[in-house]
Amino acid sequence: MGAGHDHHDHHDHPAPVSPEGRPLRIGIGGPVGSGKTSLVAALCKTLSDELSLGVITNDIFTSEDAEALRSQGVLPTERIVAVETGCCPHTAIRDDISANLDAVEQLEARLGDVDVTLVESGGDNLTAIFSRGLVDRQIFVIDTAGGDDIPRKGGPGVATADLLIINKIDLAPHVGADVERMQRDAAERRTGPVEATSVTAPGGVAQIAAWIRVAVHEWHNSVPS
Amino acid sequence: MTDPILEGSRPRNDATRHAARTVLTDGRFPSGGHAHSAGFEAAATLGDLDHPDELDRFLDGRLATTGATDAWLVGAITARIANNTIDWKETDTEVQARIMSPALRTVSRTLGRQWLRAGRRIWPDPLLNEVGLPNSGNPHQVAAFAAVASVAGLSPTDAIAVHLHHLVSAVTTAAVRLHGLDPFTAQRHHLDALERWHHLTKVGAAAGMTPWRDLPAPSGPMTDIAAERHARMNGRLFQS
Repeated sequence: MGAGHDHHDHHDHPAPVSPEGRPLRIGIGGPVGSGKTSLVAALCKTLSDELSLGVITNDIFTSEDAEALRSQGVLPTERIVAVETGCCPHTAIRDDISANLDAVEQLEARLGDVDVTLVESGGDNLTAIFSRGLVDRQIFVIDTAGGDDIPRKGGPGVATADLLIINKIDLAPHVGADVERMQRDAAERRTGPVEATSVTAPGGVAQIAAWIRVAVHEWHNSVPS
Repeated sequence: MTDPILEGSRPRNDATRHAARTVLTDGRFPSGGHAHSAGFEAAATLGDLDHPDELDRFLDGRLATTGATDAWLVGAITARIANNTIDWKETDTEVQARIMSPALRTVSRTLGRQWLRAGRRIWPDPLLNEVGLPNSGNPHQVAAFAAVASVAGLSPTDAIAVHLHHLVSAVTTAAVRLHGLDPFTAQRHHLDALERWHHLTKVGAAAGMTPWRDLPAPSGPMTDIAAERHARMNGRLFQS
């Protein structure tokens, strides 16, 4: 994985352990248009044969993202649930997680066999991170077309996410973005891994899927305290 | 991330009661209310509320119907909890009978689950395990809220006041978000509405042990019709 970091920081402090086999919950956040829904779709295609997945989308407009995922047929429709966030996507993943937690618990209870629940936030700003009460790991997605100064600007998403993805590197030459600089700046802002990729390219999420496999393995083999 | 052990006792001194009332009144209390507009978006987008100046009229309508009905329900439920005569199955039936729209029934049970989850984490008490029993963990909002308020130590009057505050807050917040209403003006509307309808806290608390069948349940058909249409509307920002 990129930026020369083998492990992310959940080894450095007491990480939440898997309570009674509950699925691993992974939050996927990032600004509008950075590629969160495309990432979720690609991950579902890559991982659904080996892992039982559930997906929660957080939409500003009803069920836009959920419909996009359903129409791509990446997962059976009953595995995708939309949460509506009342104009405030960051509130729904951080300050008041009730609606999301409710959706996550209902989905996991209904499906019964979930290994990983992906919670995709609505597109928001650089300060939007997930509450640890909602997810166990989080991925933050930014992209080259959003401006190559974003890693330098930092913020909780860039700095504290367990995995930072710099997406759309294929567009970098067209928008004058310097991917290496983005990686360098990101490495200064954070200790966790950084993956520069294009999630819609063939094999574009291979490394991210590998990171999730490791996280799932750790989660389900952790010793409850 | 394990749930706290669900046992404990209800705080009963002034300090805990006051702290609990303050926390429960705060709009940041994590019970999922921020995603709801208490019918404002439905009314605004369906044509019943075409100008923010009509906010007072809308608030009066909400308080005269849902607000009053809820005030009586919260009063009746908190009294029965205090009296140790609460029957949650009967309560569920009585609340359900007062919500006409299937969409609003779903919303009410969703918010009820969310209140219960928050309440159980913050004020662990066996009572909060009992509220959801009649409907597989899906109590109506007003029942879950009344239970949480009770175990937090609120009086019936305070519980009703907090509930009405959240009803008004959902509307005024939605007006700020959807219409760009000046937030200072929104607070003024909020304050005035709570003052105009302050009597509901007393009337509701007076419900006490009044038999369910004698509790009034004022409602307006447009609330239910608009909620049903809103639930099917594309591009809405609020769940209700």
